[in-house]
Amino acid sequence: EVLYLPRPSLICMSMATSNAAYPLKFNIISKCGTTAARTAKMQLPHATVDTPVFMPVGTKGSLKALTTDELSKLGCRIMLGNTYHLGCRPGPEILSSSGGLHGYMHWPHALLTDSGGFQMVSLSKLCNIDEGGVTFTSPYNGTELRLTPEESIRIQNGIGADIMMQLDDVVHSSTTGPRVKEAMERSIRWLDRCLAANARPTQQCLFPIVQGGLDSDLRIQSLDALASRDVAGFAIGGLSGGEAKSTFWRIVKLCTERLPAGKPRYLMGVGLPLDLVVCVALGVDMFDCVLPTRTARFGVALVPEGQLQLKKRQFETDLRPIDDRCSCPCCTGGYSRAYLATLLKEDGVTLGCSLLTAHNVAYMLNLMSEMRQSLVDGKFSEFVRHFFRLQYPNPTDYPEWAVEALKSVGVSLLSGEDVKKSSCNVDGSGDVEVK
Amino acid sequence: IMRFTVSASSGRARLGHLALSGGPDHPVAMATPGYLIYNRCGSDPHLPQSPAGILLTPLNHWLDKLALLRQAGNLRQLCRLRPDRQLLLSLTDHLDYYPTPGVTAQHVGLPTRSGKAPLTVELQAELTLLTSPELVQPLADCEIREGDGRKRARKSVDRSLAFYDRFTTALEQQGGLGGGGPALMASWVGGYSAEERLRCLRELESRGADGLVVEGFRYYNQPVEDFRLAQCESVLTEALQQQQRSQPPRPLYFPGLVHPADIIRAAELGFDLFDGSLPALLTRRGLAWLTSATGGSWWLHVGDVELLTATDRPLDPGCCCRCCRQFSLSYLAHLSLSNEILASILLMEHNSARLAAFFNELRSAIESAESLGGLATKYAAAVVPPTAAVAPLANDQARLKDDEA
Repeated sequence: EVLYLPRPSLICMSMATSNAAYPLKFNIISKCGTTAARTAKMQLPHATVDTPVFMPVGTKGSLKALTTDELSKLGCRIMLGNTYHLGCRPGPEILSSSGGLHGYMHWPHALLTDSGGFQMVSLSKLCNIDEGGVTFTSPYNGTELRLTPEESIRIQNGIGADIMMQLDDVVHSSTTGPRVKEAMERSIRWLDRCLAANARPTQQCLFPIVQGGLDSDLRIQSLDALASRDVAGFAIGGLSGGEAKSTFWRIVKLCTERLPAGKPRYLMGVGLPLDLVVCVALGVDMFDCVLPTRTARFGVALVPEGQLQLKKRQFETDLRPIDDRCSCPCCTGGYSRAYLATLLKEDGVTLGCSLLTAHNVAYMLNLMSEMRQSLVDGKFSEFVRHFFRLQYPNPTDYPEWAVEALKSVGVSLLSGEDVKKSSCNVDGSGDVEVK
Repeated sequence: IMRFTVSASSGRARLGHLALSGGPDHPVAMATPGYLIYNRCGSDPHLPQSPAGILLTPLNHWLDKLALLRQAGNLRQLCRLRPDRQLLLSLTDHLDYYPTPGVTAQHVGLPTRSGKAPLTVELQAELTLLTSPELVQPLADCEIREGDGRKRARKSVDRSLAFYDRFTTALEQQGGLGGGGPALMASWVGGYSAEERLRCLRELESRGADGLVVEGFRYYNQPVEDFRLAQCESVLTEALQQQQRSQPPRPLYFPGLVHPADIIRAAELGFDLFDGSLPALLTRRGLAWLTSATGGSWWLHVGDVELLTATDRPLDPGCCCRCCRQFSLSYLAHLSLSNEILASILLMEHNSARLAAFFNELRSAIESAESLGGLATKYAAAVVPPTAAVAPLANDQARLKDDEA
């Protein structure tokens, strides 16, 4: 008896009558009295997502060694797929005939896709950008491909993610000069082309991406232009490229202060647990990063105190679980650090990778959950201080940029009390003291 | 601790029931002909939990991890094995090559990732106590090279008997035998000499071995898929006739047979247990074992670009495993082509289910007193291809390099 049934597109959550022209509702539940942090419920067609949220990255339609059941059980309600890879293979036609990526990979909750722009620039040997789009060489088969705003949206419509990203003209954060302005302005024009090209506006929403490099004037121009469009939310791009952290946080704050408060803010490609905590304080709602899944493959476990490199000699006979406070299946299942190290080193065995990936993703999701709870309880500042004490037993080790950033939103890590918020400029001038 | 009963037979093939008492709460029974669960270091290669049954636990996986094993003091706890998983502590993983020369009167060299490691009687006794297996294979001289003659065969029998005796003594001394101790699965060696095979069998019977493990037929460094039962069948004929008459019946285990037709033929000869390594062998090469041969082949190489368009059907319409119920063949092909770990996990689920179905078929055929010849003909073409012939799923090193931006 054939039990297999082809997967139609999964039942879309019926949206309550929405005034907006897009399938996203963002309801803020609680705001921090001190910082710019807030917690909200974001309704999407396939899931209701609590923010601030961390979105794990399932690049090619699978979250490394985890099944969708396992990921769902960890509490994940939104994850990423990469348009670049999925667009090359299997391609939008195969995906849309399989019920979108949702049906293809059997993921019932929400999906977000990037535009394909970032990988395009970073992975192709040769890429040529003009007003029409980007021409590049596919590393899959060496052929020349053209990615335009329309083509990116066509592929993303085929993938069917709840949230799509505009195709933007990507420049590395270290780029300076007129190229940055050109890219920022072109991204605005490409946004409008993307919005026009969206063939499924009631099922998939589109986020614009704020650009402008590390130049606050350009950023402001981008912010003003984007905020005037009727869109569901906003992404902050062009960061997490290795720029100085002292500039990084100032740009993030500049953006969150100017973006509409009632819509979600997504900081792309960020990041480490420390970055998440600081940026939530600055007013960011959504994050994505390959950190938990990538470090798992290298045998690195995330813990509140930092990281454990399990393949190192010190863990060879360490029979403790990774973290006895953790409630993930790896830690509650009693798998010891030493046994995990054994599994990770054993060729042809994937259980070690599965368990470690589950633990790391659980760690990130739990971190966000704790932040949300602290916001509901009105204890966010205490949470932030507690987080830092765990990561840095010695306060003199607190990263300077994080101390400054938090001070600018009223949290003093060192004195233990909240302080008056101060303004600051991207170039460092302003009220914030620099130690 | 072990009870083996034979309930029916068809020719020399027999249906049996192997019961192991894993403590009062967890009796485990398996129907024979059946298979032991392949795993590495306590884990199925790709599944989160090994299927239930008797886990094949080769010592060569653990000889380079002795510090950990001793620190943990208990292999089951270390590997988080559920109480209903029973263990056969064997010598060498049959999917690993045999790179070890090095059997002496004192030790047997086993292959580990860091090279050959010596296993002595004392060490094996210690590890047996640390592991508390239900079944243990005492160390033996299982090495054979092409061209070895009767003299070598005789030596392997003598050495193996000596190891057996010394092991049982060591185990008794360490308090590990008797009512609570493991059943002894003795290595049946003797090379390609029919006389030595018969002598070994008689000696082991007189020692009251609980079961027998056929060893010493696969040549040194011969890949597992190159070994066919026909290579050695004639050597065993006389000895098997003798063995069939012995009472009480003892389970006969023939590891290292991966081709389905060989398993059927071995069952026809009266063998009861096999190693369940075929799913792992197929999965690591990206092959799926189909319910029925398609286009003349039993195996489907899933990492095939042509299969990306197969969005409307599963890997195997006749299969009820999760992989075939939830996902299209297109998705499986996509995962495989993308070097995703999930490809191995899903493929292993399918191949494990397929092996279980095969053994059900085998037992049903014996039960209905059909000639197994028909079944053997059906699976005659199910020949596992040699390693070089199939592009494997990318190994772990390649996956680590395959970083996303």
